[in-house]
Amino acid sequence: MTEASFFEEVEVGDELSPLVKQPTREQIRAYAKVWGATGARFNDDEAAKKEGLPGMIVPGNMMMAALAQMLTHRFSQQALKRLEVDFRGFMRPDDTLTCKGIITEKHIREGQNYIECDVFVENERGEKPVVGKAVIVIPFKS
Amino acid sequence: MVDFDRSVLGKGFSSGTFTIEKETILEFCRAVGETNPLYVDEEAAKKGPYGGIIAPPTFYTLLRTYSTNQPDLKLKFGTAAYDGGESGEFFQPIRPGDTLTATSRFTEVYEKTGRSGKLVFMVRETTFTNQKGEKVVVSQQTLVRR
Repeated sequence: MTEASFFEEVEVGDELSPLVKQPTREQIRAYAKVWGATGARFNDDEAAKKEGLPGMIVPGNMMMAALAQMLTHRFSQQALKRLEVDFRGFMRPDDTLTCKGIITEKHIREGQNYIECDVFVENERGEKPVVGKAVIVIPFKS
Repeated sequence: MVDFDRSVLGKGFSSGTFTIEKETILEFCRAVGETNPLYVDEEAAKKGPYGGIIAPPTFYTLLRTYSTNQPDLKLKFGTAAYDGGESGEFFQPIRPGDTLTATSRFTEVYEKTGRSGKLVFMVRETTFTNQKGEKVVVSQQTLVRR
């Protein structure tokens, strides 16, 4: 479901409703399976340690999907034009990962109503392992 | 300067053909905890803007675009590889039954010195086109070596 969103109703500084994820080992393995990623880092703690990692990690793209979920919930699939993220730190199974977003820009270009949004994933230690930007196009109410 | 084969930059190569199965979209949604009816409920989605279920925006990241005909950058650096970042520009939705064709090219190779020492970044751009010849997604994947 999508909350109605029109250009007039969105202001710079508005925050999106946060989305909290706590990926379990099972969910990470399920994601890795759909992805076809058989590597140790997404499947097995002990094998991941042998790769020099702290143990199994959450795939960055899995949290990019969560950021997209937050954005398409607030706006819509049609509205989301671009999403870019940088992966800056490891995310571990059972971390509390909160997806957040804040509107940073609003402008009209070539007849399209653009919204820009900073997005990030924050863990319970206040670190931001994923940071990025989204570009959204939404209509006027009237 | 990092040593690699610069002639590879910008050279396009085919990186796969993918048939999109509805079940894969549903599995993806289950794994990430996505419950929007647009992606998971055929009946509800029929009444929506696309007339049926579509894939969530980042579904394309599942498509394994590593191909055997990928040109060799001959990058002589690093022992460990990580995903450094990902971007997607969305043009058309991905629907079950679509056949997507991917074309990739390396656009950039650069180095940075971080807290843990030198890192080398490789940027690979991939354009996904559907069976109607429509551009669906253009992605940029940043791979990091250290």
